[in-house]
Amino acid sequence: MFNTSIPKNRHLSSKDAENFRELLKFYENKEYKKALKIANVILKSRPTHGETLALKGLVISSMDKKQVDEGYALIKQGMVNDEFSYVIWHVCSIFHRNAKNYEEAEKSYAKALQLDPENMNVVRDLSLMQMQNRRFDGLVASRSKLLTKQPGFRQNWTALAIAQHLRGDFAAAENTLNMFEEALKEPLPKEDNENSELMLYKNQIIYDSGDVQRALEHLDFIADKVLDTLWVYEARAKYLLELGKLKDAEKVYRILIKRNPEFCDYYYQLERALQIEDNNNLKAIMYRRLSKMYPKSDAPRSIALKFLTGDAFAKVVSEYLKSFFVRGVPSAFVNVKGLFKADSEKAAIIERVVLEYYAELKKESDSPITLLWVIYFLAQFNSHVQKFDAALEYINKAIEHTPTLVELYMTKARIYKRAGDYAQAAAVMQEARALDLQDRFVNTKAVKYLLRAGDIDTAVEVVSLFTKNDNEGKGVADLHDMQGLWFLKEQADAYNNAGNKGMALKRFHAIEEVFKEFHDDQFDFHFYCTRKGTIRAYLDMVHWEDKLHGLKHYKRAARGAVEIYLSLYDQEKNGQANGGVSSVDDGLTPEERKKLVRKAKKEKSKELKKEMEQLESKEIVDEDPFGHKLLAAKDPLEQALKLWKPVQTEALSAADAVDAGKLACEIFARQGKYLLAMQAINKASAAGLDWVYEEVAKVRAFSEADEAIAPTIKIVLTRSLTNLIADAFEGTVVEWLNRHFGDDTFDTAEPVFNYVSARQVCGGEEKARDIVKVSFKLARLNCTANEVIRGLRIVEQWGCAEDVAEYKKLASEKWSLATALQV
Amino acid sequence: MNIRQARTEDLLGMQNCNLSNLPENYVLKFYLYHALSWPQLSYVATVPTDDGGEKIVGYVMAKMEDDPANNAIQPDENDEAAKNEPFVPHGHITSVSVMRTYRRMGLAAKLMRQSMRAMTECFGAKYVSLHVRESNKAALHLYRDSLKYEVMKVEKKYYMDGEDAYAMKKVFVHEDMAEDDGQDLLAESDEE
Amino acid sequence: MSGKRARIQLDNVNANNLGVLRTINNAVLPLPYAESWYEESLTIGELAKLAYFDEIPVGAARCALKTPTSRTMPTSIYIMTLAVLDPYRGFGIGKRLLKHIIEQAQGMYVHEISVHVWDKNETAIQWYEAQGFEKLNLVNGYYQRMVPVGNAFFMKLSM
Repeated sequence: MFNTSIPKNRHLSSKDAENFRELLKFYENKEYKKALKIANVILKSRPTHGETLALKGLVISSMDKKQVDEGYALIKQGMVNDEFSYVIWHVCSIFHRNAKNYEEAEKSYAKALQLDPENMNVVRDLSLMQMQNRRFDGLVASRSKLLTKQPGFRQNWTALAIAQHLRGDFAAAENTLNMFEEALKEPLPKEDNENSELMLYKNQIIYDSGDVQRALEHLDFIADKVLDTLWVYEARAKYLLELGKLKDAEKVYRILIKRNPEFCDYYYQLERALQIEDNNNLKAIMYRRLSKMYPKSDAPRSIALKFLTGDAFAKVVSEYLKSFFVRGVPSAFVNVKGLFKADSEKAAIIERVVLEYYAELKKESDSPITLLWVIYFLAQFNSHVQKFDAALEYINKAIEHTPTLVELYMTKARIYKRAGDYAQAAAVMQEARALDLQDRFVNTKAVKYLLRAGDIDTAVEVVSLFTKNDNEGKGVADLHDMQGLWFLKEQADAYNNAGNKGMALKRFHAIEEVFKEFHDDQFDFHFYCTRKGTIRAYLDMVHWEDKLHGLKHYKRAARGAVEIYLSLYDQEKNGQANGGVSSVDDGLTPEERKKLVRKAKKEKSKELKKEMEQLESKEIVDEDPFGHKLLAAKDPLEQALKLWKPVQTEALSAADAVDAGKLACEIFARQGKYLLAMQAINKASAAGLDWVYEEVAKVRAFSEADEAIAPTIKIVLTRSLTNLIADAFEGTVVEWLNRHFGDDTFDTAEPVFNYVSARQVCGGEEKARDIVKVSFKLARLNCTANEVIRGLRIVEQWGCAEDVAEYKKLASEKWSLATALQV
Repeated sequence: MNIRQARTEDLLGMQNCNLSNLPENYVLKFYLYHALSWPQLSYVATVPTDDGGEKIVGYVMAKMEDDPANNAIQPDENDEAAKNEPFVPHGHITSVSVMRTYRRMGLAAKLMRQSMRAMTECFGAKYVSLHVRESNKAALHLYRDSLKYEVMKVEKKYYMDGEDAYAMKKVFVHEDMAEDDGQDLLAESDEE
Repeated sequence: MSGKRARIQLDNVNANNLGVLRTINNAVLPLPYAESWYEESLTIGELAKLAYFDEIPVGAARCALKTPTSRTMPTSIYIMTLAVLDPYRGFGIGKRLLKHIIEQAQGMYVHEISVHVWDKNETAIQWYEAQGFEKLNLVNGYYQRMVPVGNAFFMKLSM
């Protein structure tokens, strides 16, 4: 393990050398106190001994998270004292690995390996870092080395094949697995799941390499030697279809449907195998037959509803819905709701057939349940088409009929929510909850509704009925531990709505933290899966991890936080412009702030009391309980970019990546990085996205207000803007903006908000007037309660008292239940 | 409505479904552990969303119990015969849940049937075990009457809140998944 | 699905579904019961029961064990409330609840079940008679809080 010629400063007396071995042993057994003691003994006689210093650093950083910095300093010191010690670099690697800093860990392992090239443990650990950091070239090299040294382990073959596969070298990956098969003296038994997985993995490599024919041949060859029957069927069906062997493909898809008649994709592929995707008549026959073959399956029925039209549709949908009503299936409405969007005629047909059935039942029915679910359906239907009065009438009728059914109250609450009465919605959801306190689903709904209504305290009380609670009986910490994304997001929004930006930021960042955990979670599986053999699932996981921050859960949180950071920046800037007085606005009234300060003081004294316990339990003290530090960030734009960047780089699709450019553009335009902003705009323009005009106006406005802009940049920007939109510089920004957002643009809420957002940046005397004028469109538009209330907030900010009254008057004609709009 | 094998991208939705519905919750790594150890055993029920994606409204997460020391249902103390039985590979349903608004469509049963078949096909499981809250009448009915599980014993205070659990078990019988009857799916003639 | 479940199911009253008992009583009975009465319902075991029809709670019974005031009087079960939501009458739900009460009586070696029924509620009186109850004395002013004050028949089932 150690180099033969030990430098003088590293050499230890035999006594100390003995102690050093003890030290290593204690560290490995996690007996940190003993390790520390013995390290100090060595250091007493050899205070500058580098390896001991480093190991002591690792020990104390493992003992207590608070000593991490101190520990790292010792390791660094050790390194200075003994530059070429393999042990110190290895210690340093472990330190970084423990801190989940895989980049630094990889560098340190590489350095350790230079000093001790034959150390296979280090090669293996290095390969894990390379996998975590997706350094595929290095990964192939490390794993080749491991395989050469230890060809007797199956996992070393698998690991190398994975590395080659991930690097895109399919032939090499396949070859590695071939060599493994040849190296086996005799084939492994079928019961060997690991072997079965390996053969299937090889098949996947062949398919991924693009040679479908050979993949099919190989699949036929291994079919009776592997255990994953379903995967073999699915792969064979897919290969046959791709190779145009349609008759055979049909047969396999029919087997798959028989195995699982609820997977819609099998049916769609069967259509392709039969070449009837575009023939609705033949499709109607096929789905009729399949519905008969699988009478308990939803899939063949619901798929047929998508392409059937007119009377044929009416007949099938009527039977479909009636079977739900008779059985008392609560999801009848949501099962057909998707059909409305594509085809408004279908909505009308559905309403008609259900009303007819309702009339029949009212005349004569021996089933109270059926009648009840029909009324329930009609309530949901009317709520969906925003006929809230009718919806309430139906749902109240249903509640009068069966006042014990929780679902009815849940729907009533939803109607109030959609109509804009959030407080009433929450109250009704609480009624629903009271009927079934044991059901967490209703509890969750109640919490969401309470948060939407701004009642954060009650929401926390209610959610804590199902969590592990702290000393004060609150479960918020547990919901962080349990990665409760929905709660963190809803609570962040609730804080944001209440103007408490600090707490909102805190929760958004908590979601970011959860995603960091998700990212770190993969680490252990790099080793585990090569041993367990579950390579196909492992690769699925790796690809998922690569797109982690493109997921909507992260995106929503990042957007929420970025918008706050942008507003902080704008406020700060406007504050300076208005005489340099700027303070962080957390949206609190003086009383509220006083209350918070009092609370903070109380917490502080409690904290002191807890400190000893926390030292023991290594609990991390929350150093920013109200998010004030986040609000005081010196570089809000940098913070914003840090959060948003991964949304772009890890986007799930190219379209997603382009759309994510909007928020990036907002950040860049404020940072004065106009050309980067233009890049994002150009891509969006090529994709035909709506927000192009909004951002063009902003980039122009920000750059024109920017006195420090470099002349060359200005020239390039002007050229690139004119290239994109010929009249980009005709008239002032405001004139240009107003020209591009004509009255006919505002047919949905989105362009209204886009305009308002851009107009705010552009200045000019008519600013407030313009914003108010356009916001008034929302009062009459086809939009949601949320949007119409957002419009009210804009009018409140930019208009006068008469504007607000007028807006309310106009909007409340349609939104009579929305409390915010009531005068 | 869709029922299919769970993929990594479904795990967050499963975790959310679990956290919204049940009192026993897990961090994502626990879901990853299942997905990467027995990828064939977990299934999800999904519905389409407005933005063209899928929303998970039900799931079953299952595992194989391959460690003899960790037999899911410990035999009774005084049942000597059972104690000496050799270890047989068997599956265990870790967690199953369907959102309240999607009940009465038989989703839980459909999910579990798929998972149980995979246990026998891929891992040679001879039986499957699970735990259910004593008060959960609907679930008990599903397992016992629809899926033919048997109650093996009551495990006292199995749940964190002190409730007892029934330990249940279903022995697999070989089922032959042949092809369908091969009729011409596009023939109009012998339809009624 | 094989093993179809019977449409009517009974379940215990507990703290989590107490709201259901309250809702059924409020919907069906002429007079509200005090909160303490509901709290007490949690302490009487099988003598409080909910009935479900296709998994929806639609009926409830709540009884009390009446200990005799003298040695010559038998112990009896007294039905305080037995209610089924209006649309769900005629499906045997009340009968199923009464059957449960009778089973409890038998288990406790109690031979008498009694109830007060509002004299204006003909349907209820007929229903109890059909189940074998005997109509006994009329108690004038039994429902003091009713406007106008209501009378009740005392009815009894002997086993």
